Amino acid sequence: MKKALEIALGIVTSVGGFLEIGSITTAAQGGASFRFQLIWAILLGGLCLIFLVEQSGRLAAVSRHTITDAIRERFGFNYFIFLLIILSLVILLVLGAEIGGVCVALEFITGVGFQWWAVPVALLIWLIIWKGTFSFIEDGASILGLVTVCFLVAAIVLHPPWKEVAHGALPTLPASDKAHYWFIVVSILGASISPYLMFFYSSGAVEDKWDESYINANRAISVLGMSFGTVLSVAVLIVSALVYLPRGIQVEHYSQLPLMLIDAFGYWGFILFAASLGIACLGATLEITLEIAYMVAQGFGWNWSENQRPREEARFSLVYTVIIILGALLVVVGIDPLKLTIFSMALTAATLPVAIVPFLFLMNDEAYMHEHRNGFLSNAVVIFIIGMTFVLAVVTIPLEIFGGG
Amino acid sequence: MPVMLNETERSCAKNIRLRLLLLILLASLAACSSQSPADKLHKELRTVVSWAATSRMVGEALQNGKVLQGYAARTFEAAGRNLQEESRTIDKSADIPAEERAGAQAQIARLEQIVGQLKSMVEGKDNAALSQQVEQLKVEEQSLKSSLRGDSSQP
Repeated sequence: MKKALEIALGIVTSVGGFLEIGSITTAAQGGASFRFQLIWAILLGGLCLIFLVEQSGRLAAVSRHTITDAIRERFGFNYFIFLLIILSLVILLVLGAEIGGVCVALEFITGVGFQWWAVPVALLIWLIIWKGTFSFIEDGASILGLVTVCFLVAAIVLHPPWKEVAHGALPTLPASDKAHYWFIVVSILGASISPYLMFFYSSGAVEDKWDESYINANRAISVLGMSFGTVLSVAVLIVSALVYLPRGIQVEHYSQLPLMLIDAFGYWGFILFAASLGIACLGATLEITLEIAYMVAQGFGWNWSENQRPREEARFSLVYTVIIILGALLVVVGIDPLKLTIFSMALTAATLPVAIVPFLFLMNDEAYMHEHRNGFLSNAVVIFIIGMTFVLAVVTIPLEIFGGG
Repeated sequence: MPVMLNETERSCAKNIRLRLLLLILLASLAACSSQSPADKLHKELRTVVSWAATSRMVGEALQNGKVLQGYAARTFEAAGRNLQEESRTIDKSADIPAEERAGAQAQIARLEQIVGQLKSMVEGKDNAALSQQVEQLKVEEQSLKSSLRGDSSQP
């Protein structure tokens, strides 16, 4: 009974915590520019994420190691430092985008410019992490994040042509704007397959003291949670395709986003959008901040746990404090949150191989996984993801130049 | 007779193949995005239409009480800024024929003026006068959309 409740809570938190500024804006851009044609990219990203998250949880449950821990131990300190630098830089940009998302949501409601909210939002994030426990942060933000289900309701209320929606699940090329099309594909995949999600999930499993008895629960949580989350992303794309495309609106600025739910819910659509964006980004901000602090602390062998008091893990607390300041600085200087989001999502896609290649070795290492090593299907999918991420790494920068505008 | 390559030669050949592949990839991406002056103008005008449509949607939503005033004012401000930027971009595009450039800039200037008035009305809480400006915006937007359609129907 206890495990069933844990599974249910795990699924709810996965759904509530799935959407964030990256998935919302990339799906919205996809729908506004190419109608339902990019649904396949969201489904592909979601499928990859299900496999990666399931494996991250299995690694933590079987080996009691987080991914960072295992990578440092198996591949040595030098590779760990290389990974830490690359991922921290990219994840820091994503953090800036997420803080920007919270600030933009506040701008929608108050009319006060987003930059002015950066410091209060940073203080709020710091206070929640300083005072909160891991489950308070994970469950609280994700349960509030269930407000994002409004996108699914809106997609149903707007009566899309379901046959055409289903056709979007199969990849097709547009007649024009091919560079822009592929740039959005890369951004959608970057927003879906975020390394920080895998790393955070494995750290969470260790924080929650998972063992081998959690393998089935982990499978259920990752498959059902990520599937429902992917459905929410698809719903954002459908709503965007139905609201923006017929009017000729391209999503180029964050101020265009809150119009998305007005056709479905009127005034409450505006409020619901601001609430969804603010809560989803706040949840992502907490996870990302903790993840960078986890990576540094786990890699250097410091005390780390969100359930301990700050005085018992001063270096871990210092790291997240500095990270929050750096992330907030990106917003204070006035970088457009939407541009930062799109840039950081594309960059995430480019850096995926450095995180996923060692992961494949870990998942096949008997010393860590015992009899729970990857089977043929899991390995085939991870190899496919690695191949795809290598291609993404090569094409991201040229696409950023030719198709990003 | 088969030619045997040593280790260095093999690695050199592999490097050349990789560079060639990358070059082909870059060239095809560049080809995908290479634009004629007409394509360029079409792309810029699509952005202009997008901002006109955004402003109209916000204006109508504000009239019906579906968005907050502060948000509407900020969106009109963003629309004005982006329209100005589009005007500058078109001005700098020397490859677009001067006549077409002038026509597009005149349309953008009219839109900028309407959006500027909408912003002033929202800031002055003069919602009653909004409907006239929103109607004007609709006319300009339709004219832009039809010129875009005409543009794309050309061979």
